[in-house]
Amino acid sequence: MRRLFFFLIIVIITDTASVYAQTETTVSFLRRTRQASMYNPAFISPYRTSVGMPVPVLGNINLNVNLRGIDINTVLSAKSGEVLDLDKLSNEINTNSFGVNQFLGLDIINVQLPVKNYQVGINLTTRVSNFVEIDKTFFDFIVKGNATFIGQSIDLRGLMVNSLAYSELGVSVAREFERFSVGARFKYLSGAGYLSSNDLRANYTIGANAPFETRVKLGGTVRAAGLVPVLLDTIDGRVVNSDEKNFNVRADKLTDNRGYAVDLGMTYWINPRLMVHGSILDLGYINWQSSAYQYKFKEVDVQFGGFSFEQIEDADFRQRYLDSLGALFETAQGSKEGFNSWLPARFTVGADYELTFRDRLGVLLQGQYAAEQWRPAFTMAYSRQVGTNWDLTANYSYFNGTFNNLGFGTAVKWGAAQIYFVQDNILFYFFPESARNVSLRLGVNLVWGAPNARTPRIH
Amino acid sequence: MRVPKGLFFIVFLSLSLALSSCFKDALEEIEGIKSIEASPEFAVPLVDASLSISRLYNENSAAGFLETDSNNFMTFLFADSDSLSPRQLVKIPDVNLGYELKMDAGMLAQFDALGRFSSTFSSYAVFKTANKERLKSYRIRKGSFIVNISSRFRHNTTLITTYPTITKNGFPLIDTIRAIYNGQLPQVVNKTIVLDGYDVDLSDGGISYNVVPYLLELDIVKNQGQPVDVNDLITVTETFDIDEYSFIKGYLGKINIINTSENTSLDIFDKQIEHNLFLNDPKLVFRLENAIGMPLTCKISNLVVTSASGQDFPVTIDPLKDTFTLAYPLRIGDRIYSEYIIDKNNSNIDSLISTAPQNIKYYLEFTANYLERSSEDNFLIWDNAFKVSSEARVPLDLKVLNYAIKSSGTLSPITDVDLKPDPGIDLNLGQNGATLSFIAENYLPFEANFQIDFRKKAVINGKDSSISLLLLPSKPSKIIGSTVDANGNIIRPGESFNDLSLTKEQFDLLRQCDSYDLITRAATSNSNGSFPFVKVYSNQYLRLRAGFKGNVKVKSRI
Repeated sequence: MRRLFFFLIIVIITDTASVYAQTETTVSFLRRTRQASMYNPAFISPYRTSVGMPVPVLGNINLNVNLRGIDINTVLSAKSGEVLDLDKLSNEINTNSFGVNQFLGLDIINVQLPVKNYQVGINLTTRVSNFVEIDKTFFDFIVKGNATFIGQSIDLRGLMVNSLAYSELGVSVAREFERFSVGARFKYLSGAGYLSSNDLRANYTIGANAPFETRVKLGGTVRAAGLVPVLLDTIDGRVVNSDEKNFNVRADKLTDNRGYAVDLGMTYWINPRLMVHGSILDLGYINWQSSAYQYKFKEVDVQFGGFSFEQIEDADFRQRYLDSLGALFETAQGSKEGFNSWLPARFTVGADYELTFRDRLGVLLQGQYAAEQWRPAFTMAYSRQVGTNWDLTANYSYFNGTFNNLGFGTAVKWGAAQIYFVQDNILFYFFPESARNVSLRLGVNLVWGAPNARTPRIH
Repeated sequence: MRVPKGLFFIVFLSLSLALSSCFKDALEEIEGIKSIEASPEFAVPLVDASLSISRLYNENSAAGFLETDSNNFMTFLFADSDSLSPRQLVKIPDVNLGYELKMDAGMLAQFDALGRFSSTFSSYAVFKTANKERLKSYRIRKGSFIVNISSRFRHNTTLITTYPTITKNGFPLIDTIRAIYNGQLPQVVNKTIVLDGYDVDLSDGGISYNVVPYLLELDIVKNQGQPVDVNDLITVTETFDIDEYSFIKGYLGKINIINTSENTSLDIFDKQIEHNLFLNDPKLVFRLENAIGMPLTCKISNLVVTSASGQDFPVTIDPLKDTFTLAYPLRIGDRIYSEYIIDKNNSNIDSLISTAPQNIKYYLEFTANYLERSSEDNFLIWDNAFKVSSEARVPLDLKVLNYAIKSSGTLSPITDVDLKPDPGIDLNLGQNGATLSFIAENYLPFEANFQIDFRKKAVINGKDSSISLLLLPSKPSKIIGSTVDANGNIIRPGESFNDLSLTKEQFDLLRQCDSYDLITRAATSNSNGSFPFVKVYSNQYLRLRAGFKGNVKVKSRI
């Protein structure tokens, strides 16, 4: 377990991604960028051809960091002198989990071409995400003690970890009809690494009155694959070697982790000013076979109401009992066994209203199911086209449980180069202590073809 | 529209400066955190145990044990035993026989003429007993027959001795000794015959005792050419030396079999500091295992109970009942088991044991043939097989109005070191303190309350002593007894809930203590205010559950 904990710490520090937190609130409003279509394949850029800057990595970089349930202010409000009061800190955290979610996306290739009446695109993208959260109930259990839960039965999810790294080769097709456009992106996935504690379960029940009879149920599976080192000393009874227990990039850990996914989207112009749109993203899975391990914990159901007199009087007897209890909780068996992991599917639903030829209001609702709960984001945006080559957008979002998210985005076209910059929460720069979301996307596209008359539709 | 070239640079620069300034302040605040603290409250189940009288008894007594009858009724037993080591209770006296032969002139003439002389002599060997024994038979376990001949005759002598009532395997003891003249005088011949396993009949055919008939036959054969005169003499001596018998029969005399002094510890009462109890029918039972074929009489004397202060209180036994006879076996090999009971019918032992004494002392004297009826035959065997045991029986049929005991123990002082499992961690009881909760479900016909006196060593007037620092709980906590009817039968269990709270200040006092006295007061359950005698059964118990809830304050450097 220490190796697992150590590994998680390394992942948290070094990676910048979250499986569940790649929600962006701004980029989809920069409709003249190719990147908007990543949130709805039916969004068709007015530029007929778009190529991500043919320099690896500079084409598109997307960094997204979300703190959930906690920020610097939360910590400081529990600080008194040089002491951090964990009781106060716990009271300040009003979400059912807290932690950090990180996401990093890099476009290696991102091309969009017109083919007859279709807009066809190809992208090769690498995504690395981490979701590391601590169950608030578990935190309270530690900080406030189990007496806080007297008379209750609680689920303790403890440290929730979900890390995912994969590459995506996508082929998108979109077509616009009179008032209607549809798009789809078919994605071939190649998994690099996966670690998930989602299947771990712990349930703790304590009696309402003395003697506070206690019941603990544990069980579940930790799954890991690809680059994640082996977490136990034995797998299927075989002693693992030091090479397997260390983190290193080896080709044999990256092969045979194949997956498939699809993004689907649509737009519909209700009238010349009002458009509604929606999409479902990342509907798919990865089948992990390379260096795929499952660590199954023994199903434990222990009740304890107190020691018997024999156990009280006989220290050896008591110790043997405690040892046997401890052994129940320590037992985990590792096996080399492939598995499927679903991508964290998302949906978006939105509407645009064209105020003028250049001005547009938009709303966007996004949703994602993560850590056994829906995590919504709601955005109101204003976008303006300045001249013919400059787009600006600003928005206000409720996101990640916070209301202080003010987004900003801009895209400027100089010749064939379209430079864009998106920040979902610019308040972070001014009030970093209360900011929980940092999202940065920037890049350069090469675009050709004059914007057509599709956007806006009012004249 | 022309976009200013430095737009992005200015934007980035502005944001970076703002970020670095605000972020730096925030980070410095975070870095200022040197330690974390929390005040968790924990609730932990501690005890879920059933406590029977057997367990309570085993915890508090090493001297006795509990007997449970077929109805599960229990009795305390405190036992002692004594046995008789193998020894010869009857001493068989040595028997010495003598015979002399001289020839007068006539006999000499006949001897010269015939060339030989023969003489026969018969008599009884008499065992002269020292304790009026009338021995009729015995089997020799270890013994010998010693014959000596001394002859001044210059001729060859043959002596044949016959004991018809000393037999082995049906054959009488017949011994022949020859003295052959070899030129030296006197001729001396000594002979020892081992008599182990011989049966000796001393009854002379059933009409007498202590006698053994014998026959001596002497034959002297003349050596031609050797002289003989009237001064020639033959002397014969015979000795029976009987060390041990395997068994012995007859009237064996008045014998003191064993005197034993017993001191039975009633250690269940050791820790009592007050008592007001009544025991129904306690007994002192003597049991005898006897293979001695003699009428036995036992006399009990000096029966006393000793109080906790060391004072003796004599138990008054009915004068006619302090001496009693015990049955005895009539055949060798049989064992007789018998018992004699001292109880409320023949003594005041019930009232004295109700004083919760520490010991019962008494003296037992066992005598065989106390009445010296010599007409009755007895027997003894070499290993005796005599064992006397006694037990004080205290049936758990009792009424307790107040019985207080004090148990003491030591504590390891809870030092600061104990509260710092790690140098960087401070652990203390929080402001909410701690509570130890007891839940008792009592199927025993007793109620009890308890209080713990936590103490600290101190020197008072130059003497090592201790002082009370903390009494918990401030008022005794009570465990309610089961409800009983007028006959002491349990109707329903008693349920009680007690919280023993410990404030932070009390905890600080507790940390200084190094010993404790647990004072428990018990009484039997009452029935509407009256206290009937109650019986205690092995299937009655107290289920005790305990849980701890405590608030601790933890501070740890980071």
